[in-house]
Amino acid sequence: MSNIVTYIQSESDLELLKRLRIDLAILAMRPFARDGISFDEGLKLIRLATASGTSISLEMDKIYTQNEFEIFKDDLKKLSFEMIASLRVADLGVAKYIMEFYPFVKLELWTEAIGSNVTALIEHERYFGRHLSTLILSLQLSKSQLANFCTNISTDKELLVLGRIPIFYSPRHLLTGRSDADWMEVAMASSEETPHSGFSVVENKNGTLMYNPKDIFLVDKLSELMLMGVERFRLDLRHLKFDELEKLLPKVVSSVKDGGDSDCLKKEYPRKVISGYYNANKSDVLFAKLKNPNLIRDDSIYIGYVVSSLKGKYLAIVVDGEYSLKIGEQVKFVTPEGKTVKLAIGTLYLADGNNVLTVAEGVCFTGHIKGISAKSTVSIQRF
Amino acid sequence: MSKELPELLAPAGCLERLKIAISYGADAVYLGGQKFGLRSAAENFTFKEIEQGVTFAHKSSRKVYVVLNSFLHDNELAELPEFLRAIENIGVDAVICSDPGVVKTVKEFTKLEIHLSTQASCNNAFSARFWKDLGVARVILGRECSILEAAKIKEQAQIDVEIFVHGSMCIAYSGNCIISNFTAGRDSNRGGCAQSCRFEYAIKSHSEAFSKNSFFLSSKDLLGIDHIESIIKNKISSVKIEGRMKSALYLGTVVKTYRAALDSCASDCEANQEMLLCLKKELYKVTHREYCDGNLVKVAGPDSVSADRESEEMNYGMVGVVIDTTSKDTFLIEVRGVFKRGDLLEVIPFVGEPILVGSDQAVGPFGEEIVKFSPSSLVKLPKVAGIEKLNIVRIKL
Ligand code: SF4
Repeated sequence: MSNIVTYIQSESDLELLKRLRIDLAILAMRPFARDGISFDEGLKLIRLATASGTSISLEMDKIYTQNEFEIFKDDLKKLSFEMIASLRVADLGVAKYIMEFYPFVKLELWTEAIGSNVTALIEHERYFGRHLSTLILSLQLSKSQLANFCTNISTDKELLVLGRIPIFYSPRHLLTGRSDADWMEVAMASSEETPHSGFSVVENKNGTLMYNPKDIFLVDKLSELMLMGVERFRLDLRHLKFDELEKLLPKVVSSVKDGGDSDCLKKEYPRKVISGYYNANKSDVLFAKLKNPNLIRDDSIYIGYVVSSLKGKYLAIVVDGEYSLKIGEQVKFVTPEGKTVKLAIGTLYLADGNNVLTVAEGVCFTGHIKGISAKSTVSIQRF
Repeated sequence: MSKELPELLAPAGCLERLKIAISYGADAVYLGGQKFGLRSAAENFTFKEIEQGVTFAHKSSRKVYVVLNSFLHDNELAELPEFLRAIENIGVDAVICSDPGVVKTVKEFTKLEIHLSTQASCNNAFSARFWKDLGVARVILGRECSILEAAKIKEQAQIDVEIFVHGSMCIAYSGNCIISNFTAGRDSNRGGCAQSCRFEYAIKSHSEAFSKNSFFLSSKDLLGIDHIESIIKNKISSVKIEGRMKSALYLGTVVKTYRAALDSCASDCEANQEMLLCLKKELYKVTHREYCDGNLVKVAGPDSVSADRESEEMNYGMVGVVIDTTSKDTFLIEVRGVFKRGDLLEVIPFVGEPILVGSDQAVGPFGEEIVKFSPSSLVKLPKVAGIEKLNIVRIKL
């Protein structure tokens, strides 16, 4: 049976979870979490949760530089691990440290940036072994990738199915420029250069974070995901008001437990939503098109490229391939636009004007060819 | 006795730029093949070009690293072994990876040395030890690390460390910005970054002080030349110049400058501060955003962001590259930027001061009278001592 896990930020959140019989909560507190409540508030909530029987998974998704790591080790000593069910770690150095010095602690590993293929995840399983309890899957996996992961990965897998999408994390303090106190600053940013506007920006002691203007909504895919074998569904609704959360959460729970009406939930959701990459991840199709195939040389026939062309006078060619350029040779010119001209080389001469029969390397000249411009490739014409 | 210098590692966006980087003094270059690297839209190397690059570099005992720093999907990973075997046979010196799946595959199918890309955001000794356990020989630390932190990581993890010393900076923790993924449908961890951090944003906050239009995500460029002595003293293994997409002028100038800076600090005596100052001025002559020293010495503060405007400073323009010196009395330049006959050109030799060359006698390759030279034309000039093939030619704007 799949489980729901969500964040708590206050006593009211904790009570709501109790009412809904959700017995595992994520607590994100600074300094361990990129974005979270203060350390003191966090400790208080951990104590309350323990007292009320709710297990706490502690968010530890900050990335640490060497100096910060020294402080982190001291901060870690302030935690009572008997009150914490697991640590949700993003920095592999932190994961290794926990494994070595707190071997009794369960690790949940964020794999947003390091988990785009099964082999990578299996490597993590192998390395962290029994210490690893959950892999927090990337939100950029398509349905088919998720299915493949579920087939091949035995560790429990968690996926964000509802809530805000983190898209940027910098250690710099980009809103206020201040790094001297433990505060939180929230703003909205919009750019005319992207069709998307309304990025929510959070700045705190750990740096600056940005969230996507639209939230992820995969609640309508829950049964599919359960069938695939995703063990845990995460909600990140920390940006919603408590009354919104109070209305929504019971409906999400019912969707998981007995297939509640997700369409209705979608309509009621207070923010715009997307299904992200769930249906297909085609994020590399677009940039592949940016490459001009006409400029890629075919090593098996490549001679060189046209460096200059002067109408009625000459074509200057740099020979830098496997093959020499020879008088009488049948060659093929391909322009950056894809136009092809095939002909036999009639004349060949060097910069000093001396005629030659063959050029193995460097600049040489032949007669001007109409339509052939600089950057055209020159290759052997094979029949 | 001379001090041990770090490796100077330069980008090679194409075969010509590889040769330029090596000729101007890089100890090693990094390049992308047709697959598996970021910068997927760039002109990457075919196998033959990699082979030509390796032959050129190895002739002078320099190294070539192939970048495989994309985060791969399973279908691509299946194609990786064939690519790896091909580059291992060619003789590349190392591969740069960030994906644990790629690292595993490299270990399984080859004996290639593995460097961990900065994309993996490795910033502490425990992280470095994790990657070392996986078989990584060198970590390219995140730009968030200072020189002193890098030295500590090297010592504590007993692993080679590489740091960025010059160029554009990603303002996010590498691998932790997916703005392009969700706004432009382009995966920034697979080569599709749309440079969203360079946009202007209208910020609305409850506090008026922070409500403004701002390029608040746009980092200034990194300039590390002031800290070369510290880098040497702290025994950093390699210093890296960013910019596989940058021009030959940028590359030649930056590589030559850092080569000279490193060499000037090589002897036991104190570095020649006057010379370093002179060298630094060269770095202001290439296209760059405002400079800062990032996190090299202290944590990057508000002055590391170009919040007010996003502009690139350019004092010198590229004229071209010397492509032929075989004639007895003349040499040929492939023109890449406009200039007029009569303009004073500067040829940058591989070592030493720029050579000033008047262009009064500039003609086409066969004596054609040309007044204004445009990109993709050739210009012939009377030979001047010290000018070699692949020298960069620039002009003061
Ligand atoms: S948009 Fe900017 S911060 Fe984000 S990945 Fe690209 S360069 Fe880095």
